[in-house]
Amino acid sequence: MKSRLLFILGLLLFVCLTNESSAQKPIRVSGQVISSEDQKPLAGVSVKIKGTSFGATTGANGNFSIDAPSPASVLVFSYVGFGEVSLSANSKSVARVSLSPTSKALDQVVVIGYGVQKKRDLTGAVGSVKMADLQKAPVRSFEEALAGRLAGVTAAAADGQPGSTINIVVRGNNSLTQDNSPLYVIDGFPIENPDNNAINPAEIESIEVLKDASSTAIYGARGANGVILITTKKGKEGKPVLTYNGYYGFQQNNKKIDMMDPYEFVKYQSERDSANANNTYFINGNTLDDFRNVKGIDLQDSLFRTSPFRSHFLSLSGGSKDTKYSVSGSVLNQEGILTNSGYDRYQGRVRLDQRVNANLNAGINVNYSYLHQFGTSPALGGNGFYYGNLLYSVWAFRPVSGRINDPTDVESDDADFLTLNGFNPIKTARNELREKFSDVLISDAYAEYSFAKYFKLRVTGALTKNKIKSDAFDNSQTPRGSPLTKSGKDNGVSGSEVNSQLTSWVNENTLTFSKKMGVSNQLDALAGFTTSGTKVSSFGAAANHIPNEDLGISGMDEGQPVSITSTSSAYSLASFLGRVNYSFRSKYLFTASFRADGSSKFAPENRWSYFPSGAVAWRISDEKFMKGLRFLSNAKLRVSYGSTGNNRVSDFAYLSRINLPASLGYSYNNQPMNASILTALGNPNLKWETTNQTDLGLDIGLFNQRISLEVDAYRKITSNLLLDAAVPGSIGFSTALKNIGKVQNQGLELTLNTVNVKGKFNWNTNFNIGFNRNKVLALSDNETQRLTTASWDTYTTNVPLYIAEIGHPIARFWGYIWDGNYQYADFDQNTSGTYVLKTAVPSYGTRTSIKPGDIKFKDISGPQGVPDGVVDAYDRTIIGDPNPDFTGGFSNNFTYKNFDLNVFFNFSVGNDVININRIKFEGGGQTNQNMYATYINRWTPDNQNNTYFRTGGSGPVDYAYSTRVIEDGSYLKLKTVALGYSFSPKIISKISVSNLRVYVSAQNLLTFTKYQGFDPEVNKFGNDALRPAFDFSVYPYARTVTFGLNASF
Amino acid sequence: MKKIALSLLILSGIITSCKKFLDTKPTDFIVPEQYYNTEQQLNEALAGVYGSLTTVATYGLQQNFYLVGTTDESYYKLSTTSPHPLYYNITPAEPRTSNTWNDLYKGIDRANYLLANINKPAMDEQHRNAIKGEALFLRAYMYYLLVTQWGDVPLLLTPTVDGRQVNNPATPAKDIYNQVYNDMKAAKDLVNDYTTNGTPVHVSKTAVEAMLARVCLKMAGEPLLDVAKYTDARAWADSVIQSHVHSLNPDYKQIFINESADLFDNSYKEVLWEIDFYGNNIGALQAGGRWSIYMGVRNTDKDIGYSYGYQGATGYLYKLYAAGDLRRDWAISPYNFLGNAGTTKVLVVPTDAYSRNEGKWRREYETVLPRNTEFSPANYPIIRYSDVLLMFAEADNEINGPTARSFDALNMVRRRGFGLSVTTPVVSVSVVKDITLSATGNTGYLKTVPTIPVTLSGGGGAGASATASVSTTTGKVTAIAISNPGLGYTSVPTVTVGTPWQPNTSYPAGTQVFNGNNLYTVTTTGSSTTTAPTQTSGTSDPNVTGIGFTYAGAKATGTASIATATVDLNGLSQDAFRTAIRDERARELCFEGIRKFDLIRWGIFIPQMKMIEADMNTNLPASLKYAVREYTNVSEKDKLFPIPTLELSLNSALQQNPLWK
Repeated sequence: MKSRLLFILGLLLFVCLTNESSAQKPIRVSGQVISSEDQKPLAGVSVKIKGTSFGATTGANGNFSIDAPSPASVLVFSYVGFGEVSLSANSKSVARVSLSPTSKALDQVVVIGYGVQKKRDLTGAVGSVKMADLQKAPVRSFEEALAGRLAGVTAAAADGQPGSTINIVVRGNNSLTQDNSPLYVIDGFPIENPDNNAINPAEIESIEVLKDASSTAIYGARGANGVILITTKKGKEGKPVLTYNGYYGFQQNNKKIDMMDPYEFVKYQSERDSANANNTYFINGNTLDDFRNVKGIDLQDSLFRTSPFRSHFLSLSGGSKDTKYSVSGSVLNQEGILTNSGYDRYQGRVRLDQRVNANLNAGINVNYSYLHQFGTSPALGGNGFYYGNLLYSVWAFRPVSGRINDPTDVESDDADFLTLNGFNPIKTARNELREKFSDVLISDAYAEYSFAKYFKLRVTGALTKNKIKSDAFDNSQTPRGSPLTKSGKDNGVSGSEVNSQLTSWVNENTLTFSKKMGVSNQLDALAGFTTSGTKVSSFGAAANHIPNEDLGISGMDEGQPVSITSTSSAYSLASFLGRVNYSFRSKYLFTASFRADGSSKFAPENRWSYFPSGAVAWRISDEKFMKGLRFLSNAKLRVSYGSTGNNRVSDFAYLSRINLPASLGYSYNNQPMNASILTALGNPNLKWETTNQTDLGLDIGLFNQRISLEVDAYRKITSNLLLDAAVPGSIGFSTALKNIGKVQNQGLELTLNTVNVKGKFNWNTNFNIGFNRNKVLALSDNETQRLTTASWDTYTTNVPLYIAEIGHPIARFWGYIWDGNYQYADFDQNTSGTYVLKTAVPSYGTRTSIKPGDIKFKDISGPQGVPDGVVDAYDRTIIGDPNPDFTGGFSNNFTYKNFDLNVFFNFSVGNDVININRIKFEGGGQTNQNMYATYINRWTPDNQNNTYFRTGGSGPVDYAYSTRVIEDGSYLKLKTVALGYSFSPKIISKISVSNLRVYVSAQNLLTFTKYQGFDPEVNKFGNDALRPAFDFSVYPYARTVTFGLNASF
Repeated sequence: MKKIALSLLILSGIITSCKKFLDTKPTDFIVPEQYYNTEQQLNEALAGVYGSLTTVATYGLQQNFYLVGTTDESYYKLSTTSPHPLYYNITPAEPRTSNTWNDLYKGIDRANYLLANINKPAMDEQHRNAIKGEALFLRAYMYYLLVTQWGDVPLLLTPTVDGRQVNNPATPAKDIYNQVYNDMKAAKDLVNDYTTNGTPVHVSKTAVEAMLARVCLKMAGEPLLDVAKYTDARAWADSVIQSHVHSLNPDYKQIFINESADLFDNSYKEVLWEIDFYGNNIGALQAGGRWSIYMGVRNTDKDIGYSYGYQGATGYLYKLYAAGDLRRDWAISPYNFLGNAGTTKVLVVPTDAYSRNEGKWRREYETVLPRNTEFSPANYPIIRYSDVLLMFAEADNEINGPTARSFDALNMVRRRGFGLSVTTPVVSVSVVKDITLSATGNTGYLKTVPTIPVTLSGGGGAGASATASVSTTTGKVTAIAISNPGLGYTSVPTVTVGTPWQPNTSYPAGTQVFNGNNLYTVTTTGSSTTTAPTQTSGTSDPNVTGIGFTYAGAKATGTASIATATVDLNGLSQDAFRTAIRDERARELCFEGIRKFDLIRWGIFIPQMKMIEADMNTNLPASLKYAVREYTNVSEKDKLFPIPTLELSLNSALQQNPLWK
C-alpha cells in the first residue's frame, strides 16, 4: 500500500513537473458510484482522469477517491456493461455517480473470420449461440444441442445412436450430390468435417455462425455452406480457479412401438396363410381363443435398456497480466439405450497465452481426445434386404409360438428368426463388434507482434491429426458369421480392421491495421496469406473363415485373407485474403472483403478463384432524427452481397482414373490376371461451385435492449454446382463430375430476445425462427428431373422415392397417391360369387386379382397424359415434401433467488417423413412376421374401412411408396430442461468454495408430434441432400436425465 | 522504385512456390496418359475388356439368363410380380436391361482406350497384334450384343474423354452390323490361332471365324434379311471345319462337367470361346459367375451347391428329344433335391414335362471348395463346334438346299447326342423309352432310403439301366427313370424294382428285399436260409428263414416301353431340313443363351412363344400356372429391348425404339 502511494505520488510529481498547465492546484475527489437501475453501489468501476493514465477503481461499497490534477480535470467513469460517464472533478454530482447499464448485447464482442468485432459494428449476418444455455444440455457434443439455437441453422441427427452423424446445414442445402456441411473454424483454424465429439462442450467459450456472404467470403472457397466459429476457453487474469463439473444420469428409450399381442398375431397369421398357421400355431390342439391372455414376447423389452451417462470435468485456470493458462481434462461415458452400444471420451487440453513484451504476445493451445464409439447400427446393414436390419428383426419376431405357455418358448429360438430370413437381433446386438477408436489431436500456436502504432502482425500455425481405427468382427453368433445364415455359410467368422489417418496443417499470416482518424473515422484493414495442406491415408485388412473366434480381431491372421485396403491422397490450398472495415461515426459502416484461393483439387488452369464481398450498415438509431424515439435503443440496417465457393470434391476429381482393383481380374486358363479399368472420368474443366448471396438485415432494440429483434432476409444462388451428374451409359460411364446445375435458397430469419420479468424473479426469453425455401434452378445437361432411389430392400431397389425437379426443392417424395381401399361398391359380383372389379374403377397389376379390401391408388395419368384406368408408372407424382416450412427454437431462463431454470424447446413444422417401417409392419413383410398393433384395424368384411387394407391386400411391392406411409413430421420438442440451485457464497466460503451449484438437467423430455414412428427427426441416409427424412429401423432417441454438480475453488 | 521491385520479386516468388505447392500428384491411381506404356499394361487393359463380359449384367448372370431365359425352351420359375425381362413386362426404366447396356458400353470404352493406345509401348509385334485383334473382336462382339438386342444404338469407336459430349445419335443397325463384321474380319488376321492359345479363353482365329458365321446368319435373317450373307456364313463356318482344329467331344455331358470343374478339353477342343469365371469369391478376387446358381436345380445345401432353381425347361423342349437322346437328361435335370436341400435326388415323374430345371452345369462337379452360395467358378461357352456344324448346315441349306455335306454336319451332332460314334452313319437306335409305374402294390418302402435300384433284363438289348425314387413321406416309389436307355432292344425288357430275396445271403438289418410281390424288411443282421419268407403279415420265424423278415408291403412294379429313334436324317426337303436344324439347335444348344436370338432371326419368335402359351395352358401343373403370363405378355416389341430411360433423358440425340414409344 505504501509503495503504491509512493508510486502515485511520484507520478503526480512527474506530471506536476512536466505539465505546463499545472499551475492550478490538484484536488482530491471522492464519492460513490451506483447503478441507476437498482441504486446499489458498483464495485470495480474504473475512474480515470481524462487525458492521463491516472486512475482508480471503486471499492466494495462503490466508493472511490482520486487526486485530480485540477478542478477542471475530467473524470471518466467506466464499467463493463454500463454507459461511460464523464464529469468535471469539481462537479457536485461526483459525490454520487449513477451509471446506467448500456445495451450489453451491443457491446458484446463477436468472433468473426480473422478477428473480432463488437456486435454494434457488425455489418454481416452472424449468429451467436448462447453458450450458457447450450451448456445446460446434458449432451456429449455441442452438435447435439445446436438444433433450434440459431435462426437458419438446422442440426438434425440421422438417428439416436451415440455418435451418429449430425447434419448441420446453414440456410439450406446448396449442393445436390456434394457435402453441404459448413466449414468449421476452431480457435481460428479452418477444418472441414472435424469430429465434433473431440471437443468437450464445457470447454467452448463461444460458437458463432457466419451466415451471409459478407462474413463468410473471407473463407472463400470453403465458405459457401456457412462457417461455424468455435472458440475455446482461455485462462483469465486472476487467482487460480479450480472448477469441477460432474454429472451422472440415465438414458431411457423415449418410445416403444405397440405390436400385436399373441391373439391378434395368430389371428392375422391364420388369415395370411392358414396352412402355415395350422402347422405352426394351431398345434397341440390349440385354437385361436387359446391365445387370448397369453403373455407375448416383445423383443423391444430385451433390446432396450436404461443406461448410465456420466461425465467428469476438471479445469484449472488463471493467470497474471502477462501469463494466462488453462489446463483441463474430462471423462465421459455414455452407454446407449440399445444393448452393447455407447460412446466414451477421454479428453485433455492445455492452453497458454503469454505476453512476451509490450509488443509481442504468443500462445499455444493443445487438445487431445480419445474417442471410442461402439455398437451395431440398426439403420445400417441389411445388405439391401429389409429383413437384415436390426430393428426389423426386433419388431418382426413372433410374440408367441405354437407352444403356448411352454417355458422353453424363449426369445432365443434361432430357427424362428431364420423363417423370417433374419437372425436373432438380441444375439446380433450383443455379439456384433462394431467399434471405432479415434485419436484426435488439435494443436495451434500463435505469435502476435504490434508495431508502428497501428499495425499488428499475427503468425499462426496449427496441426490436426486424426487417427481412426475401425474394427468389425462377426462371430458365429451374428447374422454374418453364423453357420445358419447364407452369408455365414459363405464367409464363416469374419473380421476387418481399417486404420485411417488424417493430417492437416495450416499456416496463416495476417497483418492488421487499425486507426481512428479524427473523431469520426475508424479504419480497420486486414491482409493475409495462408497455406494449408491435408494428407489422408488408410490401411486395413479383412479376413473370413477365422478359425478361432475367441481371439476376435487378433485372430484375423489365422483366417482366410479377403482384402487389403490402402489409400492415400493429399490436398493443398493457398490463399490471399483482405478485408477493410470503415466506419463513420459508428453510424455508417462499410465492409469489403476479398479472398483468392488456389486449390490443388482442380486442374492448373482452374486452380485460382476469387471471392469478393461487400456490406454496408446504417445505424439509424444514431441519427439525430431518431433521438426522439427514446424507447428505441438500437436500429441498424444491414445489406451485404458477395460470393463464396465450395470445393468439396475428392482431391483429384479432375483426373480420369485407371485402377487395378483386387476384386477384378480375368482368369486365363485358371490363372487370374489383374485387370485395369477406367474407374472415373476426369473433368479437366472442373472448377469451384459458386454461391452468390444477398442478405438484408434489420436489428432493432427497444427499451434499452430489453427487447431486441434481428431480422434477416436472404437469397443465395449456387451455380456451377459440383454435381456428380448422371451421364448416358453409352459413353462408358454412369456419372461424371461436372460444374452444372443451379440451386437457390431464400429465406427469412427472426431472432427475438426479451427480458420479460426483471427483479427478484427474472425471466428471459430467446425465440428464433427460420423460413428457408429451396429450389433447383437447373440440373445436368438435358436433365429436367432427377429421380433417386433409396436402398433398403431389394424389391424397391429400382423404384424411385425422391425427385429433384427444376423449379422445386432438391428433394421431394415421389410415388402413388393412396386412395384407401377397394370397397364392395367397386365390384360387381358375378354368378359364381366372385367379385369382379367394375370397368370404370382403375386397377393395377393383374386386374382380376384385385379383391375387396385391397389397397387402392389414384389413377391420375397415363401414356396420353390423362387417366387411363390403370395405375402404373405414369401415376407416380409428388407425395410429400420433406422440407420444413419453418424451424426454430424457444429458450427461457428463469432465476429466482438461488434457483435457475432453463427450458428449451425446438420445433420444425411442415416437413414430411416417410415411415418405411409401416410398409413392412402394416400388412406387408413376410409370413410369421409380427405387425404393428395399428394393423388390427385392417379391412375385413365386418370392418370395411379405408384405413388399413385387408390381410394380403398390399398391392405390388413396387407400389409401396405412397401417401399412405408419408407422415407429417412436424414436431415441437421440449429439448432441454435444467434446474439448478446455487449455494450462497456466505455458506460455501466457509469451506473455501467460491461457487457451488447443484442441478438436474434433462434432454429430449417430450416430443409433441403426430408422427407414428420413434421420432420425426430421422434420416437413415445421414446428410444426403437427395434422400432426406427416411425412417427405417433406426436407433431411437434417448431421454436423458442427469444430476450434476458445479464447483469452483 | 527499389521497394516496388523487391515486393514484386517477393510476390512472384510466392506465386511460383504456390504453383508448386498446389501441384499435388495422385498417389492412389494412375491417369490414362501415364498408362499403356508396357506390354504388361496392355495385357492388364485387355483383361479389363474381357472382364466386362463377366459382370452380373453381362455373362455373370443377365446376358445368359435374365435377358434371354424365357423362350420356347425355358421359362422363369420365380413367381413375383415386379417387372422382369423374363416376364416380358418391363418398362424402358427397367434396370436390368439398362445395366447390361451400361456394362457393354463400359467394355466398349475400355476397348476404345486400349485400341487408341495400342501402339504406345515398344514390344513384340505379334504380341501387339494379338492384343489388338482381341480388343477389336471384343468390341465388335459387344456391339453385336447391343445391336441385336436394342437395334439402332450409338456407335462410339474412340475413347471417352469429355463427360459433356453426351448427345450421341444412333447409328442404323445395318451400319453397326457392317462395322462388327469388318472389325471381326480384321481381328481374325491379328489374333493367334487356337493351338497357340491352347485354350478357348483368349479369342482365336477359329473362334472369330465361328463368330463371323453367327453374325452373318443374323444379318441374313431378321431384321436385315441380307440373304447374301448366307454365303459368308457358310464360308466362315466351313473355314472352321476345314481347319480341323476342333471336333465334337464324344461325351456330351463332359463338355459341361469340364466347365464346372474348370477343366479344358485339349483333345477335342469343342468349345471355341468361353467366358472364364474363377474361384469361389472367398478371397479378394470376385471373379465367379452367378448364372449356374440362379438357373440350376434348387438346393439350399451349400456343400453340394446352393442354387435357386429359377430356370425351368419347357415341356416343348423336353419332348423335342427322341428316346435315347442322351442330351435330354443332362441338359434338363431329371431330378430335384429332396426338400430342396441336401444330396438326395428325387426323380421327376416322366409324365410331368414342365417341372424340370436346367441341368447342364451341375454344381456338384465344381472343384473349387467350399462352394459359395452366390458365385460359381463354372465357365460359360459362347460358341461351340457343334454350333459351327449346325450353322454350316443351316447356311448351306439356305443357299443350296440340303446337300450331303450339310446332312453330314447335322448328323454328326445328332450321333453324338445318342452317344454314338460321330463319324459312323447310323440309321436308328432301339432303346428303352420309359418305365411306367404300376398303380397296384407299391407300399411299405422305407422312408429313409430314397433311391432303390431297378434292373432291366431281356428285350434283346443291352446297357439300359434305371433307378427308382421313394417318397420319404408315403413310403411309395414315386418314379422310375431311365439312367441309360441302352441299345438294341427288340422287345420290352422286364423291369425289376428293388432287390430280390436270395438264399444264403448275408443281410444287414434294415435291408429291404422282395419275394414274389411281397416286400420284407430284415429285422436283425444275419444270413438267409434257403427258405424264403412268404407271409403277408408279421415277421417270419428266424429258425426257418435264418433271420426275421418282416412283411412291409407290396412290391412296386413297372412296365418298360421301347422305341426306335431315327439318328441320321436323310432325304429331307429344304423346308424340312430347315425345321430339323431349328429343332436340333434347341436340343444341342439349349440354355446357352442363343435361342432367343435364333427365334428372332428366323422370324418365328412370336408364333413360337404363343405356341408355348397354348401348350402351357394345357400342360402346366397348377403350382406353376403363373408362368403362362410370360408368354401371354410377350409381343412384337419384345424383339428388342427399350432404350433405357436414363440414357434417353441424358442423350437427347437418341430416340426410343419405335415399338417402345
